[in-house]
Amino acid sequence: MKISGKIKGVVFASLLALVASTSGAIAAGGAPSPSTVSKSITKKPITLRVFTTAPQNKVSEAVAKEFQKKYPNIKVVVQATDFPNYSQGIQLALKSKNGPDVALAANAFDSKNGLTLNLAKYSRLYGWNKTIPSTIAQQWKVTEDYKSMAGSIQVALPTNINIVGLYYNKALLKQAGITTPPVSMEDFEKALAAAKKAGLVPLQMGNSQGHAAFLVQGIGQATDGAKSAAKWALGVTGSTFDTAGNKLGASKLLAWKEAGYIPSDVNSYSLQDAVKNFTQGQGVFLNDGNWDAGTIDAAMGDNVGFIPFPGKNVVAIGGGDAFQIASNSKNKDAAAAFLDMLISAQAAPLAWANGFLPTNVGSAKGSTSLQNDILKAYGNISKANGIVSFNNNVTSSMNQTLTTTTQALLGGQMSVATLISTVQADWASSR
Amino acid sequence: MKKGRNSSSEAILFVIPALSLYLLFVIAPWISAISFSFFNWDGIGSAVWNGFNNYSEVFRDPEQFNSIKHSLVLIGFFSVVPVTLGLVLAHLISNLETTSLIGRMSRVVIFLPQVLPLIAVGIAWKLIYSSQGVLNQFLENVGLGASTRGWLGDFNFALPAIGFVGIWLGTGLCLLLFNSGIQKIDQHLYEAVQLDGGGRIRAFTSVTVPSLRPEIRFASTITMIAALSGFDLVYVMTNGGPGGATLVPGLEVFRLAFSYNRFGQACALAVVLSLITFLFILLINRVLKDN
Amino acid sequence: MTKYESAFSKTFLIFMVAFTILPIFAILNISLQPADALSTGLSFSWDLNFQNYVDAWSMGNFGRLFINSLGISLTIIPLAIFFAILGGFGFYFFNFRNKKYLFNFFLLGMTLPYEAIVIPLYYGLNSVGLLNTSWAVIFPLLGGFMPFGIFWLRSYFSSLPNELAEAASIDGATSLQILMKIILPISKSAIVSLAIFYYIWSWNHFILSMILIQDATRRTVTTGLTAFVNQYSQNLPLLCAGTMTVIAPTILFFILFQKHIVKGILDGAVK
Repeated sequence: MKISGKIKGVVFASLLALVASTSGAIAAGGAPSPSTVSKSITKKPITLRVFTTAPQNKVSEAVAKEFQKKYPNIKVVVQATDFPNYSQGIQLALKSKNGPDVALAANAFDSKNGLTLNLAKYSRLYGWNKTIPSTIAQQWKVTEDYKSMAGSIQVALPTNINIVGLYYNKALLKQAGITTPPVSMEDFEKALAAAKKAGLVPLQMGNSQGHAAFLVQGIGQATDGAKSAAKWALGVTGSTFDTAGNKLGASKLLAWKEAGYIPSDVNSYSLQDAVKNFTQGQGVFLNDGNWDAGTIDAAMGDNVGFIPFPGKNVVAIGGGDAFQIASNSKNKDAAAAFLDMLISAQAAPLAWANGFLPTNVGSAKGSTSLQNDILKAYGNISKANGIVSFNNNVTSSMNQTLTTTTQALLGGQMSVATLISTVQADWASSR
Repeated sequence: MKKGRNSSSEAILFVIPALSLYLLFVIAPWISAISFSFFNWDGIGSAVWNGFNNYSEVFRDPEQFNSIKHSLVLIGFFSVVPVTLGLVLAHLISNLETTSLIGRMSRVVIFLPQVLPLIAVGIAWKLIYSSQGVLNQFLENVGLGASTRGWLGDFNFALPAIGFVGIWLGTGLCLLLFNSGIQKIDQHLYEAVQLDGGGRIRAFTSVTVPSLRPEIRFASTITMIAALSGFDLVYVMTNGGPGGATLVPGLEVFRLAFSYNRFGQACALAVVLSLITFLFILLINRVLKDN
Repeated sequence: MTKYESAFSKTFLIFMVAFTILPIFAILNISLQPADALSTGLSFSWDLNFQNYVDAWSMGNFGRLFINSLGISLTIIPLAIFFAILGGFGFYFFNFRNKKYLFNFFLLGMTLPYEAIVIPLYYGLNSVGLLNTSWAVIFPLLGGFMPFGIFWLRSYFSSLPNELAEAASIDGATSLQILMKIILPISKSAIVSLAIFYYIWSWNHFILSMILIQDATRRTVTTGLTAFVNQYSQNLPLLCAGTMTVIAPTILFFILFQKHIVKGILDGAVK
């Protein structure tokens, strides 16, 4: 039987090829340290490939221009995708043979696979630790077992700061009969009720990608305090999501939906849709990060304000876009020089002009009332040591878990207790 | 052709290019998906033998099992409804001459969904279903404002809403296939039914449906393949949401592999998906065999 | 046939046509509104605005995407047709042991979803350095297109009168001569139909390019469109203009070749 004999041969050969290809996989030994680090950069013509997300690419592109002026032999190519696609594809890109040199970090624990460098040596060389606030920096330093953050292996360099707070529409708040923005949880609920009574949309929200989780975390940590909330968010062993604050957060989310404070079709549209609705007067409040400040500022001007999330503790979900260097990069020193420029005083105004709060916050001056509000809020939160890492980042699947569970809660398909236990189960599965 | 040459060595020369492409880029990856499916593997590090556990997990993990259930629902929308509807409608309009202007023009337009990228189709329907979209505007205009909602964010309506796109995609195709099939049916068969005193319904069940066997088989096969893959549409319309209510196996394979880093598990579900597809196609071709 | 029945049929067909066109019309309509318009499809204004197309073309880098997709389709079509002709002829003209099994083995490929093979493909292609290149999509699609091509052409060849090939065979023509001089010249329409299917499937393909091409400069129209839509989700007219830009060539192509396509599908059904 000639033909089937040949088939067997071909199948076998191609199988061998595939098995051989997979056995060549990188062994999981954690993020490798570069053998030598140096500030002196090659003079040969090279290309540096930077992978990031939109709209961060605007900052990277602006900084790339400056970088090319300083090093004319280096061409910087910046590529951007939206975050959901980016986070699913970046590990694949880092592993492939023609991947990026510099890549925005999607999740700190991804570095376990060894595809990106331990930046500790570069950090010492450039003195990065002195400029980055520790609450932000620790989110990109993992422990040696790659199970929690706030460790010693620096897997990425944060280049800007994000905080999540509460935007409010000044005119609508007044229309609802409230004169000062809320400080306590009671104020907040009172304002929501008043807005509802005045026929307004009290709290704008978009949950098709799971951003209702901000509200759960916001209420949770404002109740429990930053210290205990941060432990869980950083993945410190022994902590639990089953706290009074998180339970309150999830039940308020549900109660506010039922009371009509949150739009009933919240699961069907995204945070970006919610931002658009908010700028068009659909919503007295919006729980969102400063990354949307540029859009909101342009649409609303002096009519919008920004405050820390109300509650008895002054806290904020906070983090930052952080960059990694690929282990496969042939130009690691040049990549490190690019990272250094991203956090330089020279880059700060470029970041701030695009709505990104630079890591050296002191250099940022507000030119609009919203920018002043954000700087003021950040100052207060920072003083209270109130920055807590995003719950979404605590495992690589947590973003999906929070999306699914908050959607189910808001859709009447899941109880508060189940939400809490499902989230905790995901957290525990990787520890 | 019955009188072909008996030359295996020459035949191989003709078949081998296609065969090697097919083996290298379809069959070999599929076999290696089968072998991955027995391992616990994060896609980067080393793989650990896991026996049949990934397979039992496909049916134990509600997320994966639900994705299979959803694809069965979608078969109803993408395949069963269009084929049934197409048969009934084709019978109703069987008197229309396909050469008439309207007949010819409608043929062209009704085929259009078959050639459009599903990604674009999904984008269009997502807009139609959005809170301020065409569907809600229409409902408000006809006084049904109370029924408006964000369709794709609603646990009860998201899956049927995607399913409805399947009806949109498939019904026209089925209608035209069956319509062109009916033109070829011997009119004497219908006359015989009439002589027997049978009405249109008898004509439908005893002449139209049996005569259209090959067309029904073809239509069921291609619409079912579309229903079981379904990745493109769901990916752009809901990405599996809300709360996993529209997850389909294709998307869950992608999510297991690239969001959860469970490559072995993803391959197990992929293998189950291809077995389900294969079994359904086999079933259709058995049930609708030529007499 | 009564007049009443005919009117019913026609009305019904018109309804089907409207139902089919509605979604396409909705995006076309939105794509022509000014960027700040609130309309989402039902209301129509004659104040048409083509600027969205100009903006979408440059902001979405569609020129690049078209070149990439066109490159992929134009590589696949001739190669796939060539190999499918050889294979289809091989199965039609020769008798060999286990021919039926080998043919069924090819048919199996028509039921395998791409989702089932994309993960191993990712690793295989990476190991040979083809990931993030157009070849990462071209090769798997070539492999995936073989079953249908062979099935399609073999059915067509089999429907041709037997005497032609037999006569030539007796005259001592080689099998290659029979294929080139006798079979191919009378199979043009089947080959054109197959080429059209290959074009549509390769142009519209999504999942392989989404996973196997992570490099934004090498993306195809469908993956590029998805990224564009995600990025500009707040500007409906722009988003719709981008979508129309991607489907317009397909619609145009369809109108030009509709006879072949419609006939192709209708004929394919009964083989």
